[in-house]
Amino acid sequence: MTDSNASRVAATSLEDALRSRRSVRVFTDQMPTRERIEALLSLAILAPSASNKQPWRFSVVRHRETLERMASAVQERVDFLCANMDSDGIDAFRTYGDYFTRFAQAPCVIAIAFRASPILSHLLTDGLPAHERSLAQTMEHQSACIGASLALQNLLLAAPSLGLGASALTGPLIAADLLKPLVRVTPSWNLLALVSVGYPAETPNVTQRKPVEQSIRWIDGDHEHD
Amino acid sequence: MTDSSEYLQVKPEVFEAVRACIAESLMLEPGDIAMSSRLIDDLGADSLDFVDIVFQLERDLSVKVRGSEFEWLTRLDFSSPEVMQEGFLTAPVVEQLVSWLPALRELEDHTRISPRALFSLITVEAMCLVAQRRMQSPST
Repeated sequence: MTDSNASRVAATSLEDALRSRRSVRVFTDQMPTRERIEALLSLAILAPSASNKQPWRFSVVRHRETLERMASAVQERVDFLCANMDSDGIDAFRTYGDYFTRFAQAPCVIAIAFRASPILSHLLTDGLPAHERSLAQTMEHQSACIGASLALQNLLLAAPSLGLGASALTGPLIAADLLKPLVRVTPSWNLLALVSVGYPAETPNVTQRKPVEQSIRWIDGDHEHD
Repeated sequence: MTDSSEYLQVKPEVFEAVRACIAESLMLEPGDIAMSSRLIDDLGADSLDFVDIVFQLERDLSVKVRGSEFEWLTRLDFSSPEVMQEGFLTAPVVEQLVSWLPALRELEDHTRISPRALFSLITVEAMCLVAQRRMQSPST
Protein backbone atom coordinates (compact mmCIF):
# COMPACT_ATOMS: atom_id res chain seq x y z
CA MET A 1 0.00 0.00 0.00
CA THR A 2 1.41 3.42 -0.91
CA ASP A 3 1.75 6.11 1.70
CA SER A 4 -1.06 8.11 0.14
CA ASN A 5 -3.36 5.08 0.12
CA ALA A 6 -2.48 4.36 3.71
CA SER A 7 -3.26 7.95 4.63
CA ARG A 8 -6.59 7.70 2.85
CA VAL A 9 -7.51 4.51 4.71
CA ALA A 10 -6.50 6.10 8.00
CA ALA A 11 -8.52 9.19 7.20
CA THR A 12 -11.55 7.10 6.28
CA SER A 13 -11.22 5.16 9.51
CA LEU A 14 -11.04 8.38 11.47
CA GLU A 15 -14.13 9.71 9.74
CA ASP A 16 -15.89 6.44 10.52
CA ALA A 17 -14.86 6.76 14.15
CA LEU A 18 -16.14 10.32 14.28
CA ARG A 19 -19.42 9.51 12.59
CA SER A 20 -20.13 6.33 14.51
CA ARG A 21 -19.29 7.63 17.99
CA ARG A 22 -22.23 7.51 20.38
CA SER A 23 -22.69 8.44 23.99
CA VAL A 24 -23.29 5.10 25.66
CA ARG A 25 -25.08 5.33 29.00
CA VAL A 26 -26.31 1.78 29.53
CA PHE A 27 -23.76 -0.92 30.22
CA THR A 28 -23.55 -4.61 30.96
CA ASP A 29 -22.38 -5.66 34.41
CA GLN A 30 -19.02 -6.74 33.04
CA MET A 31 -16.20 -4.76 34.61
CA PRO A 32 -13.51 -3.56 32.20
CA THR A 33 -10.15 -4.88 33.29
CA ARG A 34 -7.36 -2.57 34.39
CA GLU A 35 -5.47 -3.59 31.26
CA ARG A 36 -8.41 -2.55 29.06
CA ILE A 37 -8.72 0.80 30.80
CA GLU A 38 -4.98 1.38 30.54
CA ALA A 39 -5.16 0.61 26.83
CA LEU A 40 -7.94 3.17 26.50
CA LEU A 41 -6.04 5.83 28.43
CA SER A 42 -2.85 5.12 26.53
CA LEU A 43 -4.75 6.26 23.44
CA ALA A 44 -6.30 9.21 25.27
CA ILE A 45 -2.90 10.62 26.20
CA LEU A 46 -1.82 10.78 22.57
CA ALA A 47 -3.74 14.06 22.48
CA PRO A 48 -1.81 17.26 21.86
CA SER A 49 -1.36 19.81 24.63
CA ALA A 50 0.26 23.21 24.94
CA SER A 51 4.04 22.83 25.34
CA ASN A 52 3.37 19.09 25.50
CA LYS A 53 2.47 19.74 29.11
CA GLN A 54 0.08 16.78 29.22
CA PRO A 55 -1.97 18.55 31.90
CA TRP A 56 -4.26 15.62 32.66
CA ARG A 57 -4.76 13.01 35.33
CA PHE A 58 -7.28 10.17 35.30
CA SER A 59 -8.88 8.75 38.42
CA VAL A 60 -10.39 5.41 37.50
CA VAL A 61 -13.17 4.46 39.88
CA ARG A 62 -14.24 0.83 39.76
CA HIS A 63 -15.39 0.68 43.37
CA ARG A 64 -19.15 0.48 43.72
CA GLU A 65 -19.30 2.16 47.13
CA THR A 66 -17.18 5.06 45.93
CA LEU A 67 -19.44 5.52 42.91
CA GLU A 68 -22.44 5.57 45.22
CA ARG A 69 -20.78 8.14 47.47
CA MET A 70 -20.08 10.24 44.40
CA ALA A 71 -23.69 10.00 43.29
CA SER A 72 -24.87 10.92 46.78
CA ALA A 73 -22.65 13.99 46.75
CA VAL A 74 -24.08 15.11 43.44
CA GLN A 75 -27.63 14.41 44.62
CA GLU A 76 -26.95 16.46 47.75
CA ARG A 77 -25.94 19.39 45.58
CA VAL A 78 -28.96 18.97 43.28
CA ASP A 79 -31.21 19.03 46.32
CA PHE A 80 -29.46 22.11 47.64
CA LEU A 81 -29.88 23.92 44.35
CA CYS A 82 -33.55 22.94 44.22
CA ALA A 83 -34.02 24.39 47.68
CA ASN A 84 -32.64 27.65 46.37
CA MET A 85 -34.61 27.80 43.15
CA ASP A 86 -37.80 29.49 42.04
CA SER A 87 -40.65 27.01 42.29
CA ASP A 88 -41.26 27.28 38.53
CA GLY A 89 -37.91 25.71 37.77
CA ILE A 90 -37.70 22.97 40.35
CA ASP A 91 -39.54 20.24 38.47
CA ALA A 92 -37.62 20.88 35.28
CA PHE A 93 -34.34 20.96 37.10
CA ARG A 94 -35.15 17.78 39.05
CA THR A 95 -35.74 15.96 35.77
CA TYR A 96 -32.51 17.36 34.34
CA GLY A 97 -30.63 16.78 37.57
CA ASP A 98 -31.61 13.11 37.63
CA TYR A 99 -29.17 12.63 34.77
CA PHE A 100 -26.36 14.01 36.89
CA THR A 101 -26.18 10.88 39.02
CA ARG A 102 -26.59 8.22 36.37
CA PHE A 103 -22.85 7.72 36.07
CA ALA A 104 -23.16 5.58 39.18
CA GLN A 105 -24.88 2.88 37.12
CA ALA A 106 -21.74 2.37 35.03
CA PRO A 107 -19.28 -0.28 36.15
CA CYS A 108 -16.41 2.15 35.79
CA VAL A 109 -16.13 5.94 35.90
CA ILE A 110 -13.07 7.90 34.89
CA ALA A 111 -12.71 11.34 36.45
CA ILE A 112 -10.50 13.54 34.30
CA ALA A 113 -8.63 16.33 36.02
CA PHE A 114 -6.50 19.12 34.65
CA ARG A 115 -4.24 21.75 36.14
CA ALA A 116 -3.05 25.03 34.72
CA SER A 117 0.67 25.61 34.65
CA PRO A 118 0.79 29.06 36.25
CA ILE A 119 4.31 29.92 35.22
CA LEU A 120 3.52 33.07 33.26
CA SER A 121 1.30 34.47 36.01
CA HIS A 122 3.97 33.75 38.61
CA LEU A 123 6.39 35.90 36.66
CA LEU A 124 4.10 38.92 36.47
CA THR A 125 4.72 41.81 38.82
CA ASP A 126 2.23 42.78 41.51
CA GLY A 127 1.61 46.11 39.83
CA LEU A 128 0.09 44.61 36.71
CA PRO A 129 -3.57 45.66 36.24
CA ALA A 130 -5.98 42.94 37.33
CA HIS A 131 -7.46 42.70 33.86
CA GLU A 132 -4.09 41.91 32.30
CA ARG A 133 -3.32 39.37 35.00
CA SER A 134 -6.69 37.79 34.48
CA LEU A 135 -6.02 37.36 30.76
CA ALA A 136 -2.81 35.49 31.50
CA GLN A 137 -4.51 33.29 34.09
CA THR A 138 -7.39 32.56 31.75
CA MET A 139 -4.97 31.56 29.01
CA GLU A 140 -3.16 29.21 31.38
CA HIS A 141 -6.42 27.71 32.59
CA GLN A 142 -7.80 27.23 29.11
CA SER A 143 -4.58 25.76 27.76
CA ALA A 144 -4.77 23.02 30.35
CA CYS A 145 -8.53 22.59 30.00
CA ILE A 146 -8.24 22.22 26.23
CA GLY A 147 -5.39 19.73 26.50
CA ALA A 148 -7.41 17.56 28.86
CA SER A 149 -10.49 17.98 26.66
CA LEU A 150 -8.58 16.69 23.66
CA ALA A 151 -7.57 13.66 25.72
CA LEU A 152 -11.24 13.20 26.58
CA GLN A 153 -12.16 13.29 22.90
CA ASN A 154 -9.49 10.68 22.16
CA LEU A 155 -10.91 8.51 24.91
CA LEU A 156 -14.45 8.75 23.54
CA LEU A 157 -13.33 7.97 20.01
CA ALA A 158 -11.05 5.12 21.03
CA ALA A 159 -13.51 3.33 23.33
CA PRO A 160 -15.37 1.38 20.57
CA SER A 161 -12.08 0.07 19.16
CA LEU A 162 -11.60 -1.68 22.51
CA GLY A 163 -15.18 -2.93 22.64
CA LEU A 164 -16.13 -0.29 25.18
CA GLY A 165 -18.79 2.37 25.31
CA ALA A 166 -18.41 5.72 27.02
CA SER A 167 -20.15 8.99 27.70
CA ALA A 168 -18.82 12.19 29.19
CA LEU A 169 -20.75 14.06 31.86
CA THR A 170 -20.18 17.56 33.12
CA GLY A 171 -23.45 17.88 35.09
CA PRO A 172 -21.96 16.15 38.15
CA LEU A 173 -19.42 18.94 38.35
CA ILE A 174 -21.98 21.02 40.21
CA ALA A 175 -20.58 19.01 43.11
CA ALA A 176 -16.94 19.19 42.00
CA ASP A 177 -15.83 20.32 45.44
CA LEU A 178 -17.40 17.23 46.99
CA LEU A 179 -16.25 14.88 44.24
CA LYS A 180 -12.59 15.87 44.21
CA PRO A 181 -11.66 14.24 47.52
CA LEU A 182 -13.61 11.12 46.58
CA VAL A 183 -11.61 10.70 43.37
CA ARG A 184 -8.40 11.88 45.08
CA VAL A 185 -7.96 15.03 43.04
CA THR A 186 -5.86 17.57 44.91
CA PRO A 187 -7.01 21.18 45.43
CA SER A 188 -5.19 22.95 42.61
CA TRP A 189 -6.41 20.46 40.03
CA ASN A 190 -9.81 20.91 38.36
CA LEU A 191 -12.33 18.28 37.38
CA LEU A 192 -13.00 18.35 33.65
CA ALA A 193 -15.66 15.64 33.42
CA LEU A 194 -16.73 12.25 34.61
CA VAL A 195 -16.72 9.57 31.94
CA SER A 196 -18.90 6.49 32.29
CA VAL A 197 -17.15 3.50 30.77
CA GLY A 198 -18.20 -0.10 30.28
CA TYR A 199 -19.36 -2.66 27.79
CA PRO A 200 -22.37 -1.27 25.89
CA ALA A 201 -25.83 -2.64 26.56
CA GLU A 202 -27.45 -0.24 24.12
CA THR A 203 -26.91 1.16 20.66
CA PRO A 204 -27.91 4.81 20.89
CA ASN A 205 -29.47 6.51 17.90
CA VAL A 206 -27.68 9.13 15.93
CA THR A 207 -28.13 12.58 17.37
CA GLN A 208 -28.62 15.33 14.86
CA ARG A 209 -26.20 18.12 14.25
CA LYS A 210 -27.08 21.60 13.12
CA PRO A 211 -25.98 22.45 9.59
CA VAL A 212 -22.30 23.26 9.72
CA GLU A 213 -22.78 26.59 7.98
CA GLN A 214 -24.72 27.81 11.02
CA SER A 215 -21.57 27.44 13.09
CA ILE A 216 -19.16 29.25 10.80
CA ARG A 217 -18.28 32.88 10.56
CA TRP A 218 -16.08 33.45 7.52
CA ILE A 219 -13.56 36.23 7.73
CA ASP A 220 -12.12 36.47 4.28
CA GLY A 221 -11.72 40.20 4.10
CA ASP A 222 -11.64 43.43 6.08
CA HIS A 223 -15.06 43.72 7.69
CA GLU A 224 -14.64 47.47 8.11
CA HIS A 225 -14.63 47.88 4.36
CA ASP A 226 -17.25 45.31 3.31
CA MET B 1 26.93 28.79 46.77
CA THR B 2 27.88 27.02 49.94
CA ASP B 3 31.16 25.17 50.19
CA SER B 4 30.74 21.57 49.15
CA SER B 5 31.93 20.31 52.51
CA GLU B 6 28.93 21.86 54.25
CA TYR B 7 26.32 19.16 53.73
CA LEU B 8 23.06 20.00 55.41
CA GLN B 9 20.62 17.63 57.00
CA VAL B 10 17.12 18.24 55.76
CA LYS B 11 14.72 19.27 58.47
CA PRO B 12 11.54 17.16 58.64
CA GLU B 13 9.32 20.23 58.31
CA VAL B 14 11.14 21.29 55.16
CA PHE B 15 10.76 17.83 53.68
CA GLU B 16 7.05 17.84 54.49
CA ALA B 17 6.58 21.23 52.85
CA VAL B 18 8.54 20.27 49.74
CA ARG B 19 6.75 16.96 49.49
CA ALA B 20 3.39 18.70 49.77
CA CYS B 21 4.32 21.09 46.94
CA ILE B 22 5.43 18.26 44.70
CA ALA B 23 2.40 16.13 45.53
CA GLU B 24 0.09 19.01 44.69
CA SER B 25 1.83 19.99 41.50
CA LEU B 26 2.06 16.46 40.13
CA MET B 27 -1.11 15.13 41.82
CA LEU B 28 0.77 12.35 43.54
CA GLU B 29 0.15 10.71 46.86
CA PRO B 30 2.58 12.22 49.39
CA GLY B 31 3.47 8.72 50.48
CA ASP B 32 4.79 8.00 47.01
CA ILE B 33 7.38 10.77 47.34
CA ALA B 34 10.60 9.88 49.13
CA MET B 35 13.60 12.02 49.93
CA SER B 36 15.59 10.13 47.32
CA SER B 37 12.91 10.32 44.60
CA ARG B 38 14.19 11.84 41.39
CA LEU B 39 11.81 14.45 40.06
CA ILE B 40 12.06 13.48 36.42
CA ASP B 41 12.84 9.78 36.43
CA ASP B 42 10.81 8.69 39.45
CA LEU B 43 7.99 11.22 39.76
CA GLY B 44 7.36 12.01 36.10
CA ALA B 45 8.00 15.74 36.33
CA ASP B 46 9.03 17.76 33.32
CA SER B 47 10.92 21.04 33.11
CA LEU B 48 7.76 23.13 33.48
CA ASP B 49 6.74 21.13 36.53
CA PHE B 50 10.14 21.87 37.98
CA VAL B 51 9.62 25.61 37.54
CA ASP B 52 6.11 25.36 38.93
CA ILE B 53 7.31 23.52 42.01
CA VAL B 54 10.00 26.13 42.56
CA PHE B 55 7.35 28.89 42.43
CA GLN B 56 5.16 26.97 44.85
CA LEU B 57 8.04 26.54 47.26
CA GLU B 58 8.63 30.28 47.18
CA ARG B 59 5.03 30.91 48.07
CA ASP B 60 4.52 28.17 50.65
CA LEU B 61 7.85 28.60 52.45
CA SER B 62 8.15 32.35 51.94
CA VAL B 63 11.63 31.98 50.56
CA LYS B 64 13.26 33.27 47.41
CA VAL B 65 14.20 30.13 45.56
CA ARG B 66 14.64 31.93 42.26
CA GLY B 67 18.14 33.29 41.90
CA SER B 68 19.34 30.24 43.80
CA GLU B 69 21.15 27.11 42.73
CA PHE B 70 18.17 26.21 40.57
CA GLU B 71 18.50 29.32 38.49
CA TRP B 72 22.25 28.85 38.30
CA LEU B 73 21.62 25.35 37.02
CA THR B 74 19.02 26.32 34.44
CA ARG B 75 21.24 29.12 33.15
CA LEU B 76 24.35 27.05 32.63
CA ASP B 77 25.80 27.69 29.17
CA PHE B 78 26.46 24.19 27.92
CA SER B 79 28.21 25.58 24.85
CA SER B 80 30.92 27.17 27.02
CA PRO B 81 34.23 25.29 27.45
CA GLU B 82 34.16 26.39 31.09
CA VAL B 83 30.99 24.32 31.55
CA MET B 84 31.42 21.45 29.11
CA GLN B 85 34.39 19.61 27.75
CA GLU B 86 34.10 16.65 25.40
CA GLY B 87 30.41 16.35 26.16
CA PHE B 88 30.73 16.26 29.94
CA LEU B 89 30.55 18.82 32.73
CA THR B 90 33.83 20.30 33.85
CA ALA B 91 35.22 19.69 37.32
CA PRO B 92 34.49 23.25 38.59
CA VAL B 93 30.84 22.92 37.58
CA VAL B 94 30.53 19.53 39.25
CA GLU B 95 32.14 21.03 42.35
CA GLN B 96 29.45 23.72 42.41
CA LEU B 97 26.71 21.13 42.16
CA VAL B 98 27.85 18.48 44.56
CA SER B 99 26.85 20.37 47.70
CA TRP B 100 23.16 20.36 46.88
CA LEU B 101 22.76 17.40 44.56
CA PRO B 102 23.08 14.40 46.86
CA ALA B 103 22.52 12.00 43.97
CA LEU B 104 25.64 13.39 42.36
CA ARG B 105 27.74 12.40 45.35
CA GLU B 106 26.72 8.80 44.82
CA LEU B 107 28.21 8.70 41.35
CA GLU B 108 31.67 7.19 41.25
CA ASP B 109 32.87 8.98 38.14
CA HIS B 110 32.38 12.75 38.29
CA THR B 111 34.24 13.28 35.04
CA ARG B 112 31.54 11.87 32.78
CA ILE B 113 28.32 13.68 33.71
CA SER B 114 26.25 14.82 30.76
CA PRO B 115 23.69 17.66 30.94
CA ARG B 116 20.89 15.15 30.51
CA ALA B 117 22.16 13.08 33.41
CA LEU B 118 22.51 16.23 35.47
CA PHE B 119 18.82 17.11 35.37
CA SER B 120 17.85 13.56 36.22
CA LEU B 121 19.92 13.93 39.40
CA ILE B 122 17.53 16.50 40.88
CA THR B 123 15.94 14.75 43.81
CA VAL B 124 13.41 15.75 46.42
CA GLU B 125 16.34 16.04 48.80
CA ALA B 126 18.01 18.52 46.46
CA MET B 127 14.87 20.65 46.42
CA CYS B 128 14.78 20.49 50.22
CA LEU B 129 18.42 21.49 50.56
CA VAL B 130 18.05 24.56 48.37
CA ALA B 131 14.84 25.63 50.12
CA GLN B 132 16.39 25.08 53.54
CA ARG B 133 19.47 27.11 52.69
CA ARG B 134 17.28 29.91 51.48
CA MET B 135 15.29 29.81 54.70
CA GLN B 136 18.50 30.02 56.73
CA SER B 137 20.26 32.61 54.56
CA PRO B 138 17.65 34.40 52.47
CA SER B 139 20.08 36.87 50.95
CA THR B 140 22.79 34.49 49.75
